[in-house]
Amino acid sequence: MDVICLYCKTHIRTIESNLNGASNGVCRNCLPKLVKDLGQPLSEFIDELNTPILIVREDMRVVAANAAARALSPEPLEELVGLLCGEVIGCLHSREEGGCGKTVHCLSCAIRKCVTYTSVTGQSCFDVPAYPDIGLLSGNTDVRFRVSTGKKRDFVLLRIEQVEEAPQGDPSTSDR
Amino acid sequence: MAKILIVDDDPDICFMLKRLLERSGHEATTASNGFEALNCLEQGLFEIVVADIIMPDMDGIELIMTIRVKHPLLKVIAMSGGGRISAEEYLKMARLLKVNHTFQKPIRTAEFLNVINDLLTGSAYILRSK
Repeated sequence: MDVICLYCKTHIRTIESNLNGASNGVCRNCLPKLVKDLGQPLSEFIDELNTPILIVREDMRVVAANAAARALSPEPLEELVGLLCGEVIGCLHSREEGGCGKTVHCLSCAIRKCVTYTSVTGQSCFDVPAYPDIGLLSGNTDVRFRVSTGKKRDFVLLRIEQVEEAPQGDPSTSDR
Repeated sequence: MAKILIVDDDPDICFMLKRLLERSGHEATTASNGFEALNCLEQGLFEIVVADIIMPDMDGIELIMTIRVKHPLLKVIAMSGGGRISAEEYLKMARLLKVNHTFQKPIRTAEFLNVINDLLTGSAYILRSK
């Protein structure tokens, strides 16, 4: 029995069978068509991920965020769009004069460096440690996580992982 | 939530249909031919079978004929992308066996889920009236 592609009708393989006829499969080239027909919309898939993901422009303004990222901010999605990354994650320096990206602390911001690097070069960053100053309800401002970035068209996909509060006074976070 | 059996010899189509149904809150099981499908039906209670027509070992027509005898209340959806003859010709054969719905592959998500939901509304009535 021959197996022919459902979409392009090319022969994929021959299988042993007592039955006549041709069965359908999907060739490697047409798999994206099957995913388009029956697969999950990308926005829904990203929303299901536990990892916060932000889609940002080179200027660090957010254009989209998945559910996990939206949970970082009390603002609804429509309020998040257009905000700067520091404003979304609650960086204390985003509330200082000039705002996110304009303070002396922003020069060493790992998130900003990764987004800029990826936007300019097209190269991805993986698991870069970041120590933003975030004001938590607990009063602890020592938070660390890892960021990864990748470029798609004019946008940068920013992934935030391994978020954890550092112990108060942890020397590893003193040099940012 | 319903238990649905997907029967197709192509693993990619099986996987995508299974994921689609699971995302919609159903419990989906897959079988790669008629024999496997009948074995699943002996072991568990399903509300709907979604069966491809042309498969090796035991094809969909033979499977549907067996289902009609052994599990007459089971809802059956037949699907085909054609082969030596057109998909419609295969699906005509399936309709002669009183399947509940037929689909030409490639299947579209919205239409497929609508039919599943419509059939479940009907099957709920049948189960209650048994």
